[in-house]
Amino acid sequence: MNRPEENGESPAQSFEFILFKVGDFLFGAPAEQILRIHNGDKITPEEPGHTPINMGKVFRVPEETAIARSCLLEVNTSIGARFFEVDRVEGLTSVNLSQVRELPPLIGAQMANGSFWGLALIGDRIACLVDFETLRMNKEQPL
Amino acid sequence: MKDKPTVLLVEDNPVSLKVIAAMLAKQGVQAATAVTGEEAVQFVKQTPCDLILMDIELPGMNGMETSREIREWESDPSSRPARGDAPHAPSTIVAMTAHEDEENRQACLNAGMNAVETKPLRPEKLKEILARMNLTAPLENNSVSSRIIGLMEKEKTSPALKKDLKSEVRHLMSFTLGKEKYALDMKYLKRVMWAKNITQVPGLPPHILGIINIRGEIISVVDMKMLLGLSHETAEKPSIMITSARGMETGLLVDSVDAIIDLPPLSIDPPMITFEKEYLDLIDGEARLDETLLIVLNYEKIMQSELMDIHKK
Repeated sequence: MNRPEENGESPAQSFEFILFKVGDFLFGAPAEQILRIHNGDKITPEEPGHTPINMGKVFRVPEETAIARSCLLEVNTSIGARFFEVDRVEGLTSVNLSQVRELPPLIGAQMANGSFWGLALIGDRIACLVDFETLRMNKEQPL
Repeated sequence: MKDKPTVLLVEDNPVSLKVIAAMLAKQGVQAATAVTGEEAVQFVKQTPCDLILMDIELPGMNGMETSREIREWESDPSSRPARGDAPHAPSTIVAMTAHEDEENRQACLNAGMNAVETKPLRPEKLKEILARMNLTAPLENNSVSSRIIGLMEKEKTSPALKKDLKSEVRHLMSFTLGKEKYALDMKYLKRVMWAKNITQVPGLPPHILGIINIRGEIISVVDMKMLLGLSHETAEKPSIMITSARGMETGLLVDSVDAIIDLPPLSIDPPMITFEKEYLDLIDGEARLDETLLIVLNYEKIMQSELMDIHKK
């Protein structure tokens, strides 16, 4: 991954990310991809037939670690809005380019289906950066 | 100069023994060695010596007592060679002592020794003794010591040869997994740290624990116990060995990191312990260290194994 100082970009260049949790794991996704966040116990997607993708199931997150899979992210994909079920949205955060890292080779090899495209260093925490488009295409397929 | 001088080195300290033997070899003299007075007397009875370098403080029979016994045997008519053979000349016995006082020197001479030298014996002093006795021999080109000394001389000017010599010993870092001791080549080890702040990543196989952030560098962490199919009991304070090969850094979670061990490759035997075939391929062999069995792993094979799947992408 090119660092800002290497490619001439301003170190101050930053992007807005939505951070959310599924089980103990922290994820991040560009905020511009998120159309809406639905909070509530029972949410019915607006378009019938578009079953929400359960992120806990996709990433084989142990059920016992789930806080409450009660949050839906409505995501803008190439074929329209799709829904992703997560435990909790932590909020919006600015991520500078210098905070983003590639997946280490060993981790990247395990994620050969491309569901993660990188890592964001946020304080002492690390968020896995999710590619919703790839997730949608691998819908409900365990990694 | 004598054709093949017989020199006996009597010294119980293994380091001193090695050093003096090397100094003698450098002068072209191959010395026999004994670590006790009893051994020395036994040797002299079978092989008359030109020179005996005698440590004074030996376990059991000390150097003075040993010298007395050798002199008694040499003066005993029954010890002389069979009729017609030339009689043996008495050995020259040089005491090696840490005590420089006159009383000690006199006691050595009274015990039948010919000279007294202070320890540690310096190369120039040894050379002087050998020269005085006309025992210095040119290096024999085909002897192991000569070859090694020759190589050592060349080593100073040849980096490639230096590497060859060093490769004769395998530098290993030993570590503990459960009740067993394992080792990896030191050249792959960059640092050791306490295992903390491991961030789990979803969707990984059980032996890949997650990632750690070391000053902005993200490194994968592999649980060695899980990797080798060992029982998974978490140690109280586990460590991570940060390793590196071909530009890729990987953290290996182990129970504890123990010691640096240098082993000649010949001391590593093929593995005898029972491992599943998939794990057996990751093992170079095993070595006995006193009562401990050390299992030597092959880092390159581990990193290239299907368990790591690095080449899958």
